[in-house]
Amino acid sequence: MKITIQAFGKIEEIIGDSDCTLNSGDTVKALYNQLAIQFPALANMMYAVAINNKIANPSSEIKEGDSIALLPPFSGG
Amino acid sequence: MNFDKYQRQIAHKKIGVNGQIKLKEASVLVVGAGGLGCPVLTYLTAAGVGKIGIVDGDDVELSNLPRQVLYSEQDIDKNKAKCALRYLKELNGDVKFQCFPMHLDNEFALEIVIDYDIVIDCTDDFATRYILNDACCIMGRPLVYAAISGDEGQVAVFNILAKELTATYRDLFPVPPQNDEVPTCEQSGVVGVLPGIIGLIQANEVIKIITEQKDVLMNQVLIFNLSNYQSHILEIPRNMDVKRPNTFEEFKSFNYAKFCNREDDAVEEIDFFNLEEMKKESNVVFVDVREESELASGKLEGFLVVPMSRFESEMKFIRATTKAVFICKSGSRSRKAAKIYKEKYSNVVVYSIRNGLEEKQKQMYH
Repeated sequence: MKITIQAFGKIEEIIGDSDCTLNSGDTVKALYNQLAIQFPALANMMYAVAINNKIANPSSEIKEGDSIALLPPFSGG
Repeated sequence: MNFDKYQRQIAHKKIGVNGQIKLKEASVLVVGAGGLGCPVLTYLTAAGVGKIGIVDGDDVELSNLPRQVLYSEQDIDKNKAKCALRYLKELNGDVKFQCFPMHLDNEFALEIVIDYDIVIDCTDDFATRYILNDACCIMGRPLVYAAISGDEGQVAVFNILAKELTATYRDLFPVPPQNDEVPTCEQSGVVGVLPGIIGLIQANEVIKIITEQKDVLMNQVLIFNLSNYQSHILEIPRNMDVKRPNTFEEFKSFNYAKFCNREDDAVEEIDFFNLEEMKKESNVVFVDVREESELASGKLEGFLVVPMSRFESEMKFIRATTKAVFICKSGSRSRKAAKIYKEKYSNVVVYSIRNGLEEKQKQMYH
């Protein structure tokens, strides 16, 4: 299944408006792995994943039609 | 209380006389008097918050002025907390201030936080953010958080007691990012209005908490984009697996610098006061990796200048045979430079000055 991703901060600069293809029932962990392959710059980055506007944990499942957001920590003040 | 002064706020249905009295009775601790801290401090002072603590160990720099609007050119090289205090006292004589011209560390954080109702995170580094988060969890204080990057800002209210305790910074980001993974304002640039807007959202959350308004940003993080004005709110569930120091002892002995990847095993960090000792040794090369624009206040005696922006192409001029000591403003770039140098010249023992030139300032305050 193809999922659309909304990215913030530096991640948005790296992936832009890209989509990502996952298998139905894949977890957030699988999404991290898939993105690391698709965008090597993300491989060592730390960021939170939200499913349908709710921060998820690595074992959360992603379903067809879910909206995904990627949020890195910001440091500036 | 001078009701005439606050008439417009009192007339607002969400504040009223009761709300204005609550503001006067409230105390807030603003950690960081930079891009976010300036609007937060200005508007909470003007709004008549009773007591405000200002924490910042940095001096005002020329490059701060376009966004840190409390300061003028006359303030350059003076401590930010002290400069802010001078201006804010004039702005509203009703407010009591406490000034802490120092970097908040886990040695003093609990003692300072306990004296305030609400803590406001206007810092620009991860170690201090985790220190503040954990201190607020231990002392039971709400933490009004914000941070910026590029054209975006994040705002959230953590650890506030609603029906039950709400999400904390660690529920959003359980562990800090790797060193240098997240660009600073220095590297990625920032337009002054962004921290202005984000800081005002932060100040608004503080006023909402004090006056007991609904819709406080708890269990949520707001992300605001300056270029298209879009905002998103993501829900943050509490993560029961998250670990953090829970007691005074655990908190004080926790190594936040190491946790935030600010220590590297290949690079030994030494304190500023060890420099004199090392200067007596022969065969030690001292290197300042600050940019030339940062050297306006004077070069360091006995240091070779190799700016970080040209470090890899110019490090061949360092010619160290046994030991090399690196310094910068805060100890971050010098650590990176020392690591790069070590990779190329593995027989040289490298040192980085912990907290850089800021350590020198800190010693002056203790």
